[in-house]
Amino acid sequence: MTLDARLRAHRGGFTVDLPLAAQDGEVVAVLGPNGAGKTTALHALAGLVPLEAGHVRVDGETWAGDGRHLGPERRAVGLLAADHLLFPHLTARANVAFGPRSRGASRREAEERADAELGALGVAELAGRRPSALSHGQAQRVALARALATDPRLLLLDEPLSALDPATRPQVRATLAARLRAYDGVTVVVTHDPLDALTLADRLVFVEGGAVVQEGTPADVVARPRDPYVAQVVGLNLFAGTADGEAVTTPLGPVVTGGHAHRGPSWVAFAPSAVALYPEKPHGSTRNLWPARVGSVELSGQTARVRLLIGAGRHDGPHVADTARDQGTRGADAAREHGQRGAPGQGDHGQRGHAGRHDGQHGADAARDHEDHGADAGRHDGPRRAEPGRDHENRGDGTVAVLADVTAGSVATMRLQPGADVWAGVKATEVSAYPS
Amino acid sequence: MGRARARSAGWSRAVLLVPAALGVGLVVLPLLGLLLRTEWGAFAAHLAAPVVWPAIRLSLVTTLVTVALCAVLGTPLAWLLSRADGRAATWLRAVLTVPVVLPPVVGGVALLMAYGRRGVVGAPLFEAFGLRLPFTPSAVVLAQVFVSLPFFVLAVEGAMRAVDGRYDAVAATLGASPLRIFVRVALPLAAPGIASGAALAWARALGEFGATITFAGNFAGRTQTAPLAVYVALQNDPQAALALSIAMLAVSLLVLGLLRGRWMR
Repeated sequence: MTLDARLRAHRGGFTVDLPLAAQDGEVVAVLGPNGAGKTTALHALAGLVPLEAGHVRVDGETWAGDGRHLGPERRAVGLLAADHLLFPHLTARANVAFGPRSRGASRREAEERADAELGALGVAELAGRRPSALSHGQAQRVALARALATDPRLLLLDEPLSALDPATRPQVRATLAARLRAYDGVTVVVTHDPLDALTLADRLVFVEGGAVVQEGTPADVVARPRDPYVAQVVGLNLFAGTADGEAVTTPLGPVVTGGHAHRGPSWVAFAPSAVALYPEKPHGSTRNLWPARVGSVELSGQTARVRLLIGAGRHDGPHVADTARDQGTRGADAAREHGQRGAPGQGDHGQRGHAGRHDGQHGADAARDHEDHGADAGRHDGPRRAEPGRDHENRGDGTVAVLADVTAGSVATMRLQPGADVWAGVKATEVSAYPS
Repeated sequence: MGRARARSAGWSRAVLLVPAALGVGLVVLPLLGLLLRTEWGAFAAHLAAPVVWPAIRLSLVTTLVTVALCAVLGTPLAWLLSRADGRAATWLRAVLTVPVVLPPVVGGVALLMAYGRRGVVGAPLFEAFGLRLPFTPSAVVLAQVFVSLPFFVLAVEGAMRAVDGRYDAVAATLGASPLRIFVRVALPLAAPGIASGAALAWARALGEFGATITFAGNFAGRTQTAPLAVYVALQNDPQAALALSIAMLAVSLLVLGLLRGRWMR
């Protein structure tokens, strides 16, 4: 085990208690809302803040714990923050050479190393520039080169891409991903951007209020979130419930699933793209049907994300259709069936293509949404933390929020706007349930 | 009504302008007086008066030594203070500010009590080495350091504080020792603040009168700095005092101008 750490530190009203372990070459992403204790954890690994309890061991060497605390200058770490923090009075080359020089290399060795690191990140031609003459993306690459130039055993990335504008972020992300593949130490990347986590990391650790709420491979976490915050990050509707033979009882009412073997406490998850909206109560095959009121609609390209409130003073109570047939159209195509033939271009979304795009690329879609909103996404974290999972959980007034992705065409044909009453349906096969 | 409002606007502007103009006058008039009453025809001759050059030389040498001491001792102190937060640092900062508000003569008395022949440090120094500090050029420097170091430290600490602490953190993770962080990161980034701190300290040292005359005395050629020489000359050779004053004014403006161009606004 290359990195073996248990980080306990007190931080403003709560305690961070985070076990963290990783092998050589592994990239671990720590995700969580702002103020969850991620940066504190990172600084504890770097030696910038003392541990109250716990330990940090790297390659069998104790960096902290057992009454020992190595200062950051004596740990083999590299740190990259959201702001590049390049020394403004030094050129890019001198910035990268700073680490090797500090660790005893000769000026010439250090500069050769700096040029090599800058070259590996494709910014060799910027070596003579001061940070003020670099773009954000260039500066961040130089800062990454600087962090790696000391051969750290532990590379710590603190929101490495969050300060970049959406246009340059994908390029720097690609550079970072490629460089991390070649890096043989342990990388811990702290982020609240799911796309960073999904594209860079081998393992995700979700932290809330200083504690781990879920941990797993990206594929596992995306498929089976076990926490409202995680579900929100990966863009799934998630409800806690109790499973019996036929359905899972949730705040939405009984939800029929694609089949589940277990009984008892359970999570129920379905993608927003699996939710179909109907202007009238459909007489089709959909098993899970709820009257809903539109809370908000946000358009992103050809897809609209509709926030539905279910169970708020509607004519009927929660309702489960009893038909067993699970065929038929769904999603916005269903809406088209019921509504008038709508906006031009809507027909372009063939049923299969539409479903494929949504189901297959769901993660990427959610991530792209995030990318598009850029800094906004970050700002939203604060209030979300105060009310964890508010998009998914019972809202306390008896209503439950559900997210639905529909085409822009259906927004037009159904005139979806806040306050509109619709029916929401999810096919049983689109619902997964797993024990909690 | 419009006219009334216009008159009222003019009136309220006058309320602001009159005290402002009086303030400018209070500063500019004495300077003008200095320039107008100087006998420019005999200026060179007055500058050649025997008290003038030794006093200027002593002032230049002692103030430069003072600024050097402030930089060498005050910069590390300012750096440590800028990165310290705690009750001790707060107290230390308060203590260091005392000479700024203390009447300089009181400072001179305090210096005598410390370094005088019967002083806390002065007595053992005298007994052990026969060293006598008061009424020597070293005493001039000590008095100047006492009054100007606080100016230097407070100014530089402000500049160091403005250096983002995250640079320290990054430098530390890159393997830099605290000393290397100070030399390679803090010093270059705070250089403009250090320069203006040095200018402040130098100006304060150049003008030092009360502590110097109390602690170092007023011996021509030995401890009689330019301000003391001006004061003495005013009694018996006013034109020499004027010439010396003009010379000091010129040197001050020169230093201010040099600093302004490079580091200050």
